[in-house]
Amino acid sequence: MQLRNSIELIFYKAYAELRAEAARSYLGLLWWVIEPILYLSAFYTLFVLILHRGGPDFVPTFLCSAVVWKWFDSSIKGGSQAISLHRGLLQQVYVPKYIFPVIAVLGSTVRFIPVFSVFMVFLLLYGMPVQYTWLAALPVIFTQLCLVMGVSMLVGAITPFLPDLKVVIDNSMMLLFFISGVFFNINEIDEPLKSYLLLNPMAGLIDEYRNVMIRGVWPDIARLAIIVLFSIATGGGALLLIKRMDHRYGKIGF
Amino acid sequence: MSKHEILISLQGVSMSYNIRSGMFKWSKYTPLKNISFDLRRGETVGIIGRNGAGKSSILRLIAGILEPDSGIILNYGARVSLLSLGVGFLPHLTGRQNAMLSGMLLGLHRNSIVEKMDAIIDFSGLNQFIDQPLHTYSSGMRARLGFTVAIQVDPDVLLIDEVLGVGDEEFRMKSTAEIRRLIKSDKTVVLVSHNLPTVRELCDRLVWIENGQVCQSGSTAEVLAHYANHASVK
Repeated sequence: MQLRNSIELIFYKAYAELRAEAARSYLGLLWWVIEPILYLSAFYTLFVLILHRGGPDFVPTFLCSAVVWKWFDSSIKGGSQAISLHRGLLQQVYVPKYIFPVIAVLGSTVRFIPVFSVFMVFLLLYGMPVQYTWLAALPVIFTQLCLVMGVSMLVGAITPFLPDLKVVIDNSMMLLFFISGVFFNINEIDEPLKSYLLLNPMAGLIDEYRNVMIRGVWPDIARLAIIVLFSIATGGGALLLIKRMDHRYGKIGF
Repeated sequence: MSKHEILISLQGVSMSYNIRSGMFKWSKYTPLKNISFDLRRGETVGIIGRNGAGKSSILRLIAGILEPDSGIILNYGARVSLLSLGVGFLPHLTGRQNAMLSGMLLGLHRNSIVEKMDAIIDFSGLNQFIDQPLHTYSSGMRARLGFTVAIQVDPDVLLIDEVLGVGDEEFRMKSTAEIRRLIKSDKTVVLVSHNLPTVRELCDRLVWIENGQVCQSGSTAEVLAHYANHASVK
């Protein structure tokens, strides 16, 4: 399949899967906004209404982290299963396998956009001033897109051969959720633990989102660049792995 | 280009699957062992053999869906397509959207499918149903759409696995006629079928596969005579 066909297919299949997902429920596209609100409400109820956690800006700070975490979580989990779920298709026709994690990430990215927009509206309603640093959310979002693409590609490449990895990924994501700084400020953690926690790229990214959206601070470009380089290395390695194992995916399931 | 020019050559091809037989236990299943034959431009080659003999695996190898573990498959620049119905269909999309998606998975460009859409609707006979969700279709309507999209691909080598007629009686005749037209054209065709009269009528020569190996290869009349004799003894 030529590159042009692959690119056309990636965009059309991502669009088709989103259309199909919307068509499966009565509320359709509205679920892209309702579902994250329900997700965030559950944490809000627990941490704010029941446990009375946090200071004056705890709610926007927490929501900011939870929104971007949700994108990361759904991309990695979707990407990890992307090739495995197309086992039947891989028996019928030759398709380059890298397209499936890419389609999964595109889908979760499209779903993230309205959620992030709702979050920005929430910030305004909450009384946060519009800040120039909000513009810097774009490079931070781009960095996260690189990260989810690279990691999704890697787990997507391996999981078909090690299906048990799905359980490991699901539980690892829960651990990462708690240590990425969604519920706390990573800058308040003492060294050397802080440095260890920042080895997790999502911890650094969540801190950068808070910088640009809540604190009015411009992002640390060096930190973003390191995450982009890490993502390129991960994605590149995954592409090489997929290319090497390309025809073995069709034998999975026997 | 010579009529008898070799397009694809299988040389000593073997292929195995690793089958999980328990925790940390794997066993090897080898459906194809040391398969060799050539495909020449314009000929129709039939592959016959019992269920599980390895016929469909050969088609997947020729189509490039699978790769051999040993031996080589030489493709001298031929575009190959396995006739697959309903590739990538999603039940909540409309027939039109599924035709687009399936066509792209089969290797067609988006613009090319848009251009062919009227012909797809016309041949499939779906008309106003083309914009209804696929889950509202009967199995016959799905087969009509799947078949019509699949035949839009125009490869040098067409691989057909028991797809000689689908849908209701009217469409079965129409799709059978279309497949026969493709087979009788200058296209190179590999046909897997258990229907021996059809194989006798359509194929220039046959490859008989038994237990993953080429049992006999030669003219249709010669191979069918031995195959029929073998089957009656069994």
